[in-house]
Amino acid sequence: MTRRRKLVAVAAIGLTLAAAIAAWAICRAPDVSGACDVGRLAKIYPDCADVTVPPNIAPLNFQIQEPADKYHVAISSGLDSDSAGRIQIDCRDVDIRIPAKAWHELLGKHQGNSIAVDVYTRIGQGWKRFTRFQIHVAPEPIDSYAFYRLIPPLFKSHRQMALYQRDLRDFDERVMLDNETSLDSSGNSPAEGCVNCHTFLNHRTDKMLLHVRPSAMSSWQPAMLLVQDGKAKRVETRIGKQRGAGYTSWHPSGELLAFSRNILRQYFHADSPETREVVDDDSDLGLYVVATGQVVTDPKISRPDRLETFPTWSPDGKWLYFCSTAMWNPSKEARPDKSFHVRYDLMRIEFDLASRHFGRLETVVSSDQMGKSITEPRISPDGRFLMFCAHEYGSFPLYQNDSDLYMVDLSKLAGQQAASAPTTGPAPDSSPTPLAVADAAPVRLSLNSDRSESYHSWSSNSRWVIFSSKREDGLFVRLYICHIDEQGRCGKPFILPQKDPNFYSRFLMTYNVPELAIEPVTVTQAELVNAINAPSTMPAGNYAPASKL
Amino acid sequence: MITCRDCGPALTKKVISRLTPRQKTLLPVKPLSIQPWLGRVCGMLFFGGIFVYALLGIDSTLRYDWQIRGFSTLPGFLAGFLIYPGGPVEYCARLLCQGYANGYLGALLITAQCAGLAALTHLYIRLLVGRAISFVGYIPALLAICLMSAYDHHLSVVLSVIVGLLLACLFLLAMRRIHNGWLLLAVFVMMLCVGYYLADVAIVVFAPAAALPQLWRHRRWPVVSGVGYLVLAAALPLASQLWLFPSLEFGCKSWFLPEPPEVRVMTWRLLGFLPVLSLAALIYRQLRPDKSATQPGRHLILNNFIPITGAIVVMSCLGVACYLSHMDNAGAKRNLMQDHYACNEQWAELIEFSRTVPTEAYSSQLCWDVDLALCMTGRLGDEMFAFPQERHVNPDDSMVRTPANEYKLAQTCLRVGRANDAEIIAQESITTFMQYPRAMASLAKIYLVKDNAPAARRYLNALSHDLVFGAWATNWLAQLDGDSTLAGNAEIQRLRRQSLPRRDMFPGQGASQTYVAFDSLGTVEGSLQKDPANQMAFEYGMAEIMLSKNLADLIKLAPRIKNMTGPAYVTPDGRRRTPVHFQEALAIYCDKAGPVKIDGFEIEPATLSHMAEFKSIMSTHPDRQQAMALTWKFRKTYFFYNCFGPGDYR
Repeated sequence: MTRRRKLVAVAAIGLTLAAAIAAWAICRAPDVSGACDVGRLAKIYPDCADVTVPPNIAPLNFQIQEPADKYHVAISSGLDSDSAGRIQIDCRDVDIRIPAKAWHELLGKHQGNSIAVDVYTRIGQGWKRFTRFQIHVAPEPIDSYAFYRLIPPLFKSHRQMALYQRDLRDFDERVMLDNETSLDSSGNSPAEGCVNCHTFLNHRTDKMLLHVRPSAMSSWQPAMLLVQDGKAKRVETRIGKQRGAGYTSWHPSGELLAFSRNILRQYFHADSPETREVVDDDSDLGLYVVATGQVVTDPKISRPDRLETFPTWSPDGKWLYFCSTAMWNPSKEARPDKSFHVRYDLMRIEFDLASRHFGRLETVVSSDQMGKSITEPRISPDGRFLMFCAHEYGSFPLYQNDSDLYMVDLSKLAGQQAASAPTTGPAPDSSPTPLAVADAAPVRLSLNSDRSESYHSWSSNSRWVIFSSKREDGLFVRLYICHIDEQGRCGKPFILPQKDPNFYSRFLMTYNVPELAIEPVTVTQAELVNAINAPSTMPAGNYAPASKL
Repeated sequence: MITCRDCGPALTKKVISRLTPRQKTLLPVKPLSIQPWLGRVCGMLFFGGIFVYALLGIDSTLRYDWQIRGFSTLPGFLAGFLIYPGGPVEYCARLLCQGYANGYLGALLITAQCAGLAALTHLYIRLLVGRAISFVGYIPALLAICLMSAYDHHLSVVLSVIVGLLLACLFLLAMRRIHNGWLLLAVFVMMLCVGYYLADVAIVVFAPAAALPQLWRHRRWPVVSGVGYLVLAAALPLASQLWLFPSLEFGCKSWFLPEPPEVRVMTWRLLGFLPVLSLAALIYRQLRPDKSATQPGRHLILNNFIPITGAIVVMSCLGVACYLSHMDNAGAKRNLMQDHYACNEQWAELIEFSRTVPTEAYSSQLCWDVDLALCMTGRLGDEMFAFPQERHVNPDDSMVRTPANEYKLAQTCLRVGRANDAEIIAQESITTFMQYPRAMASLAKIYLVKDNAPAARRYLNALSHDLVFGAWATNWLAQLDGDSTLAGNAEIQRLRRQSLPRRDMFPGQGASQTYVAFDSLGTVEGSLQKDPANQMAFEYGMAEIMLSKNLADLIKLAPRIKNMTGPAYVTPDGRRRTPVHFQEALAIYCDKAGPVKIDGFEIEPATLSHMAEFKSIMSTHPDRQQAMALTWKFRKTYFFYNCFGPGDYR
C-alpha cells in the first residue's frame, strides 16, 4: 500500500468514526435520570392526560406549554423493567409528534392496560420532570372512519361547506362532497347550498343517505342522495310543496328510513353569549320506503297538535324513538321568544316491520321529569344505552351552552315492553303511555363540560361515542371521542387527534354531524355530483298512510 | 434594460482595419435601436415614471385593502397551493400582495413586474429574430400597468405571463441546440407541463410563443411541428380538468372569462400580446433577414433622430397609458380611497375627501361613512347637514356586499355597543370572503368585547401568521397572556359597558335584518339604558329621527342629552351646549307642537332667528324652486333638509 493510499484509508476511517460519533451524540436519549421533580402535571394541549383511547387510534400528538430550551417525552409501559416499545422524543420545539408506527405497536401491546407518559423539560443544564400521566388503552377498537362536515361558524350563508371522511387510524382526511368545488360538467356548483345529513346503515357505507340543498342561485335541485351498492342515485322525499326529509334514521333492515320534516327558522339574539337561535315551527315524522320510493306516514307520528322530530330506530327495529312536544306556534307567527318554554319529551312507538304497523306509543323520558328539553336520541348498536341531549328549551342543542349528554339504560326499560300488548290500529287521539323509569332514570354523563355538548354517534361495537363539544371556546365545535364501558361508565374523552398538535388553536372551521363507520365511502365526489343532477330514479312519494302499504 | 447592444463580439479597430471590404459587410452591425446611453436613460425614465404612477396614481395600499384572498404563514397554507395547477403562482401572488400594504414597496413591486415583463420580452425577441428590436419590451409593461390600474387581482396574471415568457425564452434557447424534432417535442411537453403546473394560464403565453417559430421553421410539416404543439397545449388543461382536477375552482373557464368583464379585455391584451408579437417578429425577420446592408454611421441625422423620437414616443405612450388608466379607474379608486380612510379610521381625511366627490359619484355608502366620521370626531350634531344625506343614518339593503363595507358595518355595530350584530356581520364576511384579515381582526375584537377570550384567541392565533396583521395580533395575544379579562384595556371595557342589555331576538332571514337598526327607537333606548353615556347611540338615534323627519320621537330621546359629554356638548370654558342641528330640530318641533322644556337642551337665540328668517321666506314664496334658491344660504341647516331633503345641497 502506497503512502498516499494509507493516508486516504486513515482519513476515511477517521471521517467514518467522526460521523458515527456525531450521529450517536445526536440520536442518543438525554440523560434525565437526575431530573428534579416539579410535582405537577405539565401543561399540555390538547389535554390527553388520563384519557381512554382505542388501540387503533392515531397518535395523540400534543404541545407542551411550558417554557424550556429542550423537551424530552418518554412514552412507555410505565415499568422500568419493560423498555420494549418505549417511545422517546427529543426536541427543541414544543410540538410533540409521536411516530405512528411505534405508537400503534405500543398501543397494541398494552391493549386493555395503560401507558405512561413522562414529560421532561430543560432550561440551561438542569432537567425537570413533570408528574407522569397515563393514557388508558381500551381493549375495544373504534370504527376506523369518522365522517363529518366542516363549516365556518354559520350565521346565514352556507359557503365553504364540505363533508369529509377521516381515517381515525392516521391523519388522512378526504373530501366527500364540497359545496364550492363540486362542479358538474357545466362548471356549476351548489353555490352556497347546504350539504349535510349523512346517514349510514349499520355503520357501513354501502348503504347511506346524503342531503344536498342548493341555494337559490344554483342551477342544482335539492336532492336526497341514496347510495346503494356503491352507486349514488337521487331520490325524492318532497311531496308537493312540503319540505323534504331532514333528520333521518335507517331502519336496521335497510328497507325503510324514518325521517322528520321540519320547518326551521333562524333567529339572532341581540344580546346573549350565543348569537344564533333556531326554532322549529312545525315538524312531523314520515317513512321512506327504499324499494318503492314511497313516502308514508302515520297519524301517530305526525299529529297536528304535536311536533315530532329526531327519529332513531332501536337496533332490533321494533321501536322508533323520537322527540315530541306540543304544537306551540299553530299560527306560525308567534314571537320566537315564545319558544323559550318549549321542551321536547323522548317518546317511542312500537313498529312491526312485517305489517308496517305502528303500535303502542310511550313516553320514555318526559321533559317535565328532566326539567329540560330532550333532543337527538341515539341508541347504542347493542341496544343497551340511549344517549341524548338535554338542554333548557327547544330543539337545537348546538346553540345552547347548557346542553349536556345524558344516557338511559334501556335494559332497565325492557320489562316495561311486556306490560301492554301492541295495538295494531292507528289511534291518533290516544295519549302516550308514560313508562316507569325510576330504575332507568337518565344519567348526566361525566364527559360533559360547562359548554354545549351535542351531536353524537356510537361506534358499531357500542363502546365508543364521538360527540360534538364547544368546550374550548363556546364557538367552534370540536369532536371528542369517549369510551363507554359495559356498565355505561365514561372514560375521559379526548379530542380528535391531529398531526399538528397546535391545529385546533388556530383552526377557524367548526365540526358538525360526526358519524362513525367501519369502512370508507367508495362513491366519488364526481359520482355524487352526477347523481345530484340526474333525474330522480324513484317514483315520487304519495304520502300514503303506512297501513296502506 | 433594452439597450442597443448586439450579440456580436466586440472587435477592436485594429482587427477591423485588417478586414477586406467583403468581410466588413459581414460584421455584426448595430441594430435599429437607440444609442446605448439613450436607451438606458429612456429605460430609467420609463420605469421611474411607472414607479411614480404606481406610487401616486395607483396607490398599492388601496389594492391591498381590496384583496380578499389573504396570505398566511400557517403550516399547511403553502401545501394547499401545491396541489393544483396554477397554485404556486397564486401563492407567490398572494405573498407579493402583502407588500402592497406599504405604498413605496407596492410601487416598487409594480415597477419590478413591469420591468420583468419588458426584459423578458426583449430577450425573447432577441432570441427569435437574432437581434434586438428597440421599444418592443415596453409594450407589455404598458399593458400591465393598465391592468394594474384596475385594482383587480392582477398579480397572478402578470406573474403567469412572466413564467410563460421565461419558458418561451428557454425553449428558443433549446431550439438552437436541439435539432431532433422528437426531442424538441419532448422538451416542449416538459416545459408545457411545468408551465401549466406553476402558473396554469402561462401556457397561453408559452405555447404560441414556442409553437410559432417551429411552425415557421417547418412550414411543410405544420401538423407535426407547430400545430401539434398548439394542439397539445390546448389538450393539456382540458384533460387535466376533466380527469385530474374535476373540482378545480380556478380552471380554464376562469382564464378565458375572468371577472369583471373590463378586466377580461385587459387580461387578454396582455396574454395575447406575445403570440401576436412573435408572429410579427417572424414576418419581420422573413422580410429583412440581413440588416448588414445598412451600415451604421452613414446616416448621422437619422441615427440620432430615430432613437430620440423613439424615446419621446415611448414616454408619451407611458403618459397616455397612465392618464387613460387613471381616468378609466377614477371611480374605483375613489371608492377604494373612501374605504381606506374609513377602515383605517382616518376620519378627518375621509371628511375632506368627501368634499372632493362630485354629486353624481356621491354614493349612499359615502353618506354613511361621512356620518360615521362626523360622529367619531364629535361633529355630527353640528355639521351633518353640510354634507349630502340619505333617509337613514345606517346602511340598508342597497349596501354593496364588499369586504370593506362589511368590515365598516361590523365596526360601527361594535362601536355602538351591538356586539352580536357585529359578530353576525363579521362572521358572514369571513364565510363569504374566506380568510379576509380585517374581518378576522374584527372578529377577534368582537369576541374580546363579548368576554370570550378563547374564541378571540383562535382568530388572533390565525392572524398572527399574517404578514401585515401579525404584529397587531401578537400584541393582543400578549395582552391576553397578561390578563385574560383585559381589565386594564379602557376601550374593551367601554365597549363591554355599552353592550345591549335586553335579550332581544330578530329574524335571520334577509340581509338587511342583521344591520344595526337605529330606526327603532327602542333599540337606541336599550343601548342608552345600558350605558347612558353611549354618545354614538344617542347621536345616531337623533340623526335617524332628523333624517326620517319624525320629530315626535325627538322628545323621547332628547332628554338623554344631559348624559353626553365631550366638546360637542361642553364648551372649553365648561358651559354645556347643544349641537346646532339638534337645536334646529327641536325648534321646528316646538314651532309646530308648542314650547317644550328639556333639561340640558338649549335652543340659542341665533337658531330661533335663523328659523324665523327661513320661515318667512318659505311662507312668502310658495314656489318650491324659488324658495329653495332664496333659502340657499340655509342649505347647511336642518331647516333646509326638513323642507327639501334628502339630497346633495353643497
